[in-house]
Amino acid sequence: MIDNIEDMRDHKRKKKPRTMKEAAQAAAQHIRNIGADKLKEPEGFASGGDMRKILEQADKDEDKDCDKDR
Amino acid sequence: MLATHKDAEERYTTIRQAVIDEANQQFIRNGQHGLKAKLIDASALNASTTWNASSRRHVDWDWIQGYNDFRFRHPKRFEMALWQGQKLASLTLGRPTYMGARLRLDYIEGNPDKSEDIQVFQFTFIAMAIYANALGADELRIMNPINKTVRGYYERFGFSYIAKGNYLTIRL
Repeated sequence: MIDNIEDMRDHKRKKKPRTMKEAAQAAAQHIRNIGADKLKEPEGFASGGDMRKILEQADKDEDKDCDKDR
Repeated sequence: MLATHKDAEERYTTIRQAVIDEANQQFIRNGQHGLKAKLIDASALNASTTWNASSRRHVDWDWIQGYNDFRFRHPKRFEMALWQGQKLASLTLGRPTYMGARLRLDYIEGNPDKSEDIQVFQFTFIAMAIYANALGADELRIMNPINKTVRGYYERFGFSYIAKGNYLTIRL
């Protein structure tokens, strides 16, 4: 009986792929749900590390065994 | 450039352009007719040099060098230049993780002198969600928020901060 219960993580992995339009609409819905229009974007808005070290950082990533980034 | 790298660059540029096109369609559906997303090109990079003169700018990034380095290293990258009419509103660079399960936002900068009513991140979020979906990724990560205010802004979008690694994450 218990063998028939699907692991929720597996269920999530097998979710139906969305079209690009569906993905866009889902993202837009999320933005509406959180009320993003009422948020104020910080002045001088930016995120990221040292842009001068992109090549250096990519070399480090390639040295890692797991979760390498490309 | 190796043939495999060149092939990947061309293949993923096709996907990136399709994503940008779909993002623009969504902006129109949202009633944002004045905004247009594009791939990063010479005109966007040149426009970014004017940001150096702004006293509101919080970073000293050289987008011309940075983009060229990033482009060289990451053919599967996400990139977007957001324009408000003739004015560059933001530039973004990201990349999928090795296994493709996640899409990282590595660099984003809004025009420090853009009008306050334009929130560039929400449009970046839409475009990145489309690209993540196209790659089969189900998580977005924002790397290295520059300060607590920016980090808090992302948290209002539903992202969770992970101190170990200094990034924010959200499941799609």
